[in-house]
Amino acid sequence: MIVFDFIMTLIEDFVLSLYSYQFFKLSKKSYIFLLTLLLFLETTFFNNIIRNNLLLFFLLILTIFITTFIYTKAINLYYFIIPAIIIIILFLSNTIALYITAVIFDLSIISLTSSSYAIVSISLISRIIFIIATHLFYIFFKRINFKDYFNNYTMIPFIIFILVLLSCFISLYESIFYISINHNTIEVLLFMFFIVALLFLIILYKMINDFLTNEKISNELIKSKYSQEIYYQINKLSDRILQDKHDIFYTLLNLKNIANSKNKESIIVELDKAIERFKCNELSNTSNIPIFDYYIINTINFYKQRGYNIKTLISVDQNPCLENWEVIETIKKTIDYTIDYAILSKRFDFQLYNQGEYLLLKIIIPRNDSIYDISNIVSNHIKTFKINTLIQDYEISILIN
Amino acid sequence: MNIVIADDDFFYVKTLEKDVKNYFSTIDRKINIFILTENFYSILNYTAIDVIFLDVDLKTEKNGIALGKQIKKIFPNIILVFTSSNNDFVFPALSIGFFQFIRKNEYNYDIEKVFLQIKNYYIEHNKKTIIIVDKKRVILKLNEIIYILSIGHELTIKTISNEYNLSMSLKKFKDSIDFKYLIQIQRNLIINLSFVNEITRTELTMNDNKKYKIGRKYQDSALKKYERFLLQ
Repeated sequence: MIVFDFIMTLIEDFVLSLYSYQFFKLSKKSYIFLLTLLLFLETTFFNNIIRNNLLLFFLLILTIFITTFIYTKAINLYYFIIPAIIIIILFLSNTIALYITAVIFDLSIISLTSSSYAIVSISLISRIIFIIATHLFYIFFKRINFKDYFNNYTMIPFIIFILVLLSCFISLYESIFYISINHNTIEVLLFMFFIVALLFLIILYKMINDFLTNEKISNELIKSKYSQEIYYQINKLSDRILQDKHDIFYTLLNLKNIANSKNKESIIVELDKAIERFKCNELSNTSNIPIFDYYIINTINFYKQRGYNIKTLISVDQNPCLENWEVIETIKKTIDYTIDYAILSKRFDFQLYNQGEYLLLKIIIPRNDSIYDISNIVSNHIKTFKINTLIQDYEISILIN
Repeated sequence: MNIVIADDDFFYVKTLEKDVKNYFSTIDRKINIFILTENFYSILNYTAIDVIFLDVDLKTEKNGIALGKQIKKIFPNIILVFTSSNNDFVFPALSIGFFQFIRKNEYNYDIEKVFLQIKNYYIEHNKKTIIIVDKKRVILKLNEIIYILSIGHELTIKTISNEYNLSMSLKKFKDSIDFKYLIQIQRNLIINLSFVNEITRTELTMNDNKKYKIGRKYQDSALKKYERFLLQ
C-alpha cells in the first residue's frame, strides 16, 4: 500500500511538473526532473509526517514559483496562477473520483476510507481524470498568451481568490477524507468564505469596468468603420459634383451661344432641360453621425433616387441614442416598413427630433387600403407609440430610447 | 391669432399671406398677420406671437435657424414653422424644437398638411378657462399655466406672466378644465408638462431648473403621461 501511495504521488507531481514546463515554455528538461523530485519529497513528507494539506498546497505553489524563477530569471504572476489552476484540476479530479467510487462500491462518501479497495479506486480514477483534464486544459489554452495577460497587478485579487478558494476546497476535502470536521475547521472555512465573498465583489467590479471599457472601444470601432465608409461615399459624391459642374459649364456656354443667336424658344427649351437635369432633390444632407448617415441617410437617398418623395426633417442634438446600433436598426426597420407601405403613393414625411433623453420618430404617410401596423416593427427600444388617423394620412409617432 | 411671416422672398410671402388669411380666418375671427421681408430681428420685440413662418435661408448675417432659436427662448409656446427652398431639413447637432417645415418647391402639397397640423395643435393648446380673481373675471390660457398649487382652500395659479390666487379646491378646478398636459404630481400640486425639462420616476425638473417630487400615488401615471406628451 505504501509503494502504491508513492507511485500515485509521483504521478501527480510529475504531471504538475510536466505541464508547468509546457505552459511556461521552458527549454531545459532538467526542470521537470528537479521539480518532480522536490514536489515528491515535500508531498511524501507532509503526507506521512505533518498531514497538513493546506500548508502543503502553499508550499507546492511556492516551490514551483521559485524553481521557475531560477530557470527563467524572471518574476511573473503567471507562475502562481498556472500551478494553482492545475492543483484545482487535481482537487476536482479527486472529488469526482470520490463520487464515482461511492457509486461503484455503493458506499457513502464518509465510509469510503474504511475500504482499502475503495481508496485504491479513488487514487486510480482521480489520476486518470487529472491527466486527461490537465491535458485538455493545456490543449485549449496553449495558444493564448497568458503570460502577458496575467502579469498585471490588477490580477492580484484573482490570484488571491484562487488561492483562498483552493484552501476552502482542501479544508473541506480533508475534513471528509480524514473524518475530522471540528469547530476550528468551521471557523477557518468561515473566514475563508468571507475573503472569497470580498474578492468576488472586487472581481465583479473589475468585470463591470472591463465590460464598460469594451463597450466603449467597440462603439469607437463602429464609429471609425462607418466614418471610413462615409469617406468613401463622399469621394464618390465629390467626383459626381465635379462632373455636374463640368456639365453646368457646358450648358451655360451653350445657352450663351443660343442667346447670341437671339432664339428665345431655344433658350427656354435649353433652360428647362438644365433645370430637369440638375434637380438636386435626391440627396439629403448628412448628420455627421457616421453610423446614422450610413444606414439612415443612405437608405433615404437610395429610395429618393428610385422616385420616392421623402420629406426629411432631422433635428437632433448630440443624442447618444443615435450611436446605439439597435436604435439605428429600429429606425431602419421603420423606414423599410414605411417604404413597403408607400409603394403606391411613393411619398411620406420622415421626421426625427430630440425629446429630452428620447428620440421622437414621426412618419406622415398617405393612407391606403391596408393598415399601417406598427407591430411589424419589433424592437425593445420603442417606449410608446401613437397613430393618428388624419383626413388623408396616417401620422405615426414613435418614442425611442 | 397673431401670425408672423418672415421671409426675404417677396413673391412667396404674398402667396403665403393670402393662404394663411383664407385658412386661419375659419379658426379665429381676429387674425393679425405681420409681414417681415427685412429687419428680421425686430420679431424679438413683439409681445405676442402664436405662429411664425420663418425662412431658413435668410440672406442676413445669421440664418433663420439662429433667429428661430432666439424666438423659441422668448416665446416657448410659439408654433415655429420653417420654410426653405431645400427639400430636406437635416442639421447636425441641432435640436431647436420647431413645429414643421415647408418646402417651397413642394409648397402646394406641404401647405395643406402643415395648416391642418397647425389648426389641430392650436385648438388643443389654446383652450381657455375663466377664473374669478378679486371678484373680476379673468380669461386664462391653459397652456400658459406653469403650475397650480393648493394650500388649504386657496389655489395659486402660476402662469408665464402672472400669478393668481383664488378660493377653490384643486379637485374642483381640475374637474372644470379639459387639458391633458396639466397633470397632478402631488396631493396639492398640478404641473404643466409643456414646462417640464426632465422627468424620472420620483422627481421632475422644470425648464427653470426647479425640481418637484412626484408623490408615490402619481409616479406610474406621471411617467406614462409624460411619454404620451412627448409623442405630440
